[in-house]
Amino acid sequence: MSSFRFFIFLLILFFAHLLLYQYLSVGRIFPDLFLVAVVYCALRLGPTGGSVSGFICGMVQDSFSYTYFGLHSAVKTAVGFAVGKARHSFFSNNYLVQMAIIFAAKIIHDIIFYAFYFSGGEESFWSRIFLETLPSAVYTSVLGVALFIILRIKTATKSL
Amino acid sequence: MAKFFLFLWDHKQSLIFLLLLLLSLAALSLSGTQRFHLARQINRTIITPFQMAVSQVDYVLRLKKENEGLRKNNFILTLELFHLEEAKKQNQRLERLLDFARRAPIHFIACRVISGGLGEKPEVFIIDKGSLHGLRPNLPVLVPEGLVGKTIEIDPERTVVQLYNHQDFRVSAKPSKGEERGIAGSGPGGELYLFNIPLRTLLKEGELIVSSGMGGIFPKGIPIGTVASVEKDEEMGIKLRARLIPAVDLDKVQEVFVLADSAFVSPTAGELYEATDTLLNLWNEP
Repeated sequence: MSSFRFFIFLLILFFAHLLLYQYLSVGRIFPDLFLVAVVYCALRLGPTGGSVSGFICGMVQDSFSYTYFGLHSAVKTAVGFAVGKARHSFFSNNYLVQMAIIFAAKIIHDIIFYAFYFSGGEESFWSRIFLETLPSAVYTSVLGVALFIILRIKTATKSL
Repeated sequence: MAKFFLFLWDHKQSLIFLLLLLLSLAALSLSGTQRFHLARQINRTIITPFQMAVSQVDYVLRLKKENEGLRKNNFILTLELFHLEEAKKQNQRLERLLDFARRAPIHFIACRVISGGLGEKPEVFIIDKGSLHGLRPNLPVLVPEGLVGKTIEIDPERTVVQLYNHQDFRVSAKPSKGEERGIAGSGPGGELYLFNIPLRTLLKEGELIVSSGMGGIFPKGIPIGTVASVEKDEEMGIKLRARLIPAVDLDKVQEVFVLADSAFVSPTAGELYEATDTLLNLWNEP
């Protein structure tokens, strides 16, 4: 995929998350398309791209929640950096692998996030992880990769 | 010093990450008010323009949808208005008919015209009542304005009415204020005429012509038309004929009354005296 098309893909994820968030939900399960953008940035651009995109997306998310302002950006920066660092460890051209990376990133992201968010309230933390994070991770990974495939098929360009 | 910068360059990825992480943590450690202002600033700078653009698009789409809905409603309301206007007209007509029927101490059968009347000069109407409702041939058909015609063919639930402009329709008629009788019916050009008027008869324009009560079908006193012009009848020679303006505009007739009272429709003219008085009173009332 060319840089331009990759940029378009990121923009789609960004605006889809920003503007269609409510419409993309399935019951109480919401996709985290910002995280998908961060993961793909990290896979393509490495740790720096992952960190910067994570920081920007996180800040945007944080701008909606004043109480933990900075928490999203910290976690997403960390996840972006981690995925960027580990990108050579797996064959990231495979869609299933991409799905697994997004899934794992979402789980790690939410564990760190809720660990700070609940800080001590163990019951709420685990119920949130099992009832929301797991389904959301599945939904996010499927939707993220599906969007990537659609754009890739549409543009029929080089691989990631 | 150079070593230091080289170190920084070598670890630039980690340093950038640490810097961003520190910034995030610094944001976390801000006071409530500062967090609020910073979050508002980011939101206003990055999010609001897009949300405004989207809300504009959404607004236009909703406006379009609303417009379509309003157009549809407008169309429905226009149709309803037409319907109401028609209902109002019908109501007025029926009120007049009802008033007419109330004033008449005789047996009228109210009928609806279901065919004819709206085309080019129809000569018959079909009404929605028939033998099941007591109708039979040769009954007078009226509206408050006057004579419409007579029944000719009867089905159980339908009746054909021969209108006054039918070529075969004839009714014995006279001026409302005179006794000289003639025959009213369709004449040249399909217009209504009063034929066979004695030469000595003085007919004035605008004079009302009514049924004379002779002939056994129509009682005396039913308005037929007003005199438009009087001329010598070329065929009859010693008689006059008068062109009449019909009392009833057939194009506007939608409901009629059939005069079904046996006292008025007896085939013998001798029994019609009762009708004469009754109907004259009926049309003479205000």
